[in-house]
Amino acid sequence: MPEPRRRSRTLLAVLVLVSLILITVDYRQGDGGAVAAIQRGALAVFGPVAEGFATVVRPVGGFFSAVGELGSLRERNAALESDLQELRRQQVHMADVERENAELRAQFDMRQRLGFTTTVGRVIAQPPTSVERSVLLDVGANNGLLPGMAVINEFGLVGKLTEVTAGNARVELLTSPNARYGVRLAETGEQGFLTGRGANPFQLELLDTEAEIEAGAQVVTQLFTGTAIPDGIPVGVIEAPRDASRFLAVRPYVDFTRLTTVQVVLDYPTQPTELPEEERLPSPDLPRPDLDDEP
Amino acid sequence: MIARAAALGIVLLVALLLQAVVAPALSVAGWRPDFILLTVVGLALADGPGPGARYGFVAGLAADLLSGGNHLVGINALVFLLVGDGLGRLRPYLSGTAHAGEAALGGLAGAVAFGLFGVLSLLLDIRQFTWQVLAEGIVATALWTALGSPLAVRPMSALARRFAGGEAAAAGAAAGGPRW
Repeated sequence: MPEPRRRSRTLLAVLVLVSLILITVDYRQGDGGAVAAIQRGALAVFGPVAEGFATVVRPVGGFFSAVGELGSLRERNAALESDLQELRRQQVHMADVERENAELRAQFDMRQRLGFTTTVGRVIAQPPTSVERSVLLDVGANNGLLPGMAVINEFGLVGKLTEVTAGNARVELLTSPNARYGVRLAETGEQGFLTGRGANPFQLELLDTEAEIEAGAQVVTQLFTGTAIPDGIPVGVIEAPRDASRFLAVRPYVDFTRLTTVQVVLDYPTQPTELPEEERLPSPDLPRPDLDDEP
Repeated sequence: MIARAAALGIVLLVALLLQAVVAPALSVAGWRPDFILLTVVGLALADGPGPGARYGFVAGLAADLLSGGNHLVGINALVFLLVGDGLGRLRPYLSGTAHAGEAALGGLAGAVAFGLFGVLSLLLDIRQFTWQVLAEGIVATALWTALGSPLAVRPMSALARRFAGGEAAAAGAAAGGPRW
């Protein structure tokens, strides 16, 4: 056998032997042995080098990786886009539900405070034009609604029903120039009539034209003949003290541009305009003064 | 001799870095190319069994040392040593520079390397290998190495010629010039 070949085989045998010894030693010593310590040292040296190398080549690797995963990335992207849209939709829905929940709780509180029986109506249509001051509700005669019923929300009086069908009802808003309500000042009891003026503050005409009125005075509803508007529902506040004009401007509590749910008062009777003849009680026969006794 | 060792050291370092950083990005169905094995295959086919075995041992040992605490040091050294030696012995059967031959031998080397690694791991009970994983690994490593071998042989052959000292240089000197 030639010398180089024998030397080569000897070297091969030695290297195989060294490998087997290394395997055996590492196997027997485990993590606490010298071989494991060398392994940890090698990793400590190689780690920073690999990190530096990775900084340089990672964009290249990322490119190849992205090319390899292009098909699955497209699918994942489409799925994530779909999830995102769904989450956005749910988020919007949740915000709407939370707002509506808060609104209804406040309206419930108002109803409890006033002691009415009401039904919830959802505003399904705002006025088709900016000059019309009415909204359409998703409740109607089937829910016990009748024309003339008062409509309130958590802030106060919204308006009254003017048209009612089996499933829907139209609310004439307090802002309507056609609407006229009997009101009073909560603090002083001064009475008057309130008229809507569209987007402008309400116009209040007090019966006492000389009464001194301060800005900020609260205006509430007043029972009035021929209407079903309950007494004492908040309407708004006086904006400015009385000046030379006989009218006062009233800023409404209700934001009429953001109506989404309202309460229709079901159990408040319409106030009579005249007392029915048949129900009138006879006048008692009071003793008349004896004029004959006079001198 | 020192220049050759230094050049091979640089090649090994680059292969280790590629294996640690780039190979994961090339993973297909969980199986990635083995750049270290490719350099062993390339040098063995370029320079013969002796240099292939020596380089294989050193490269395998480096891979063992950098493979973490759960890996038994010596396994890759033994596997790559045997692959380098065996492939170097098959080198004379390559006709010329046929890429198909290099790819075939590379594929064989990949299959043998993973097969040996798997069997040793099973024997020593250090890996949760199943026969299915072993079969998949043999096929995947064979394919990756078959694809990469023609690419690895060129630069390793050039390096062997530039830093002569292996059997290729001796054979080339005997024949009046390098074979590749």
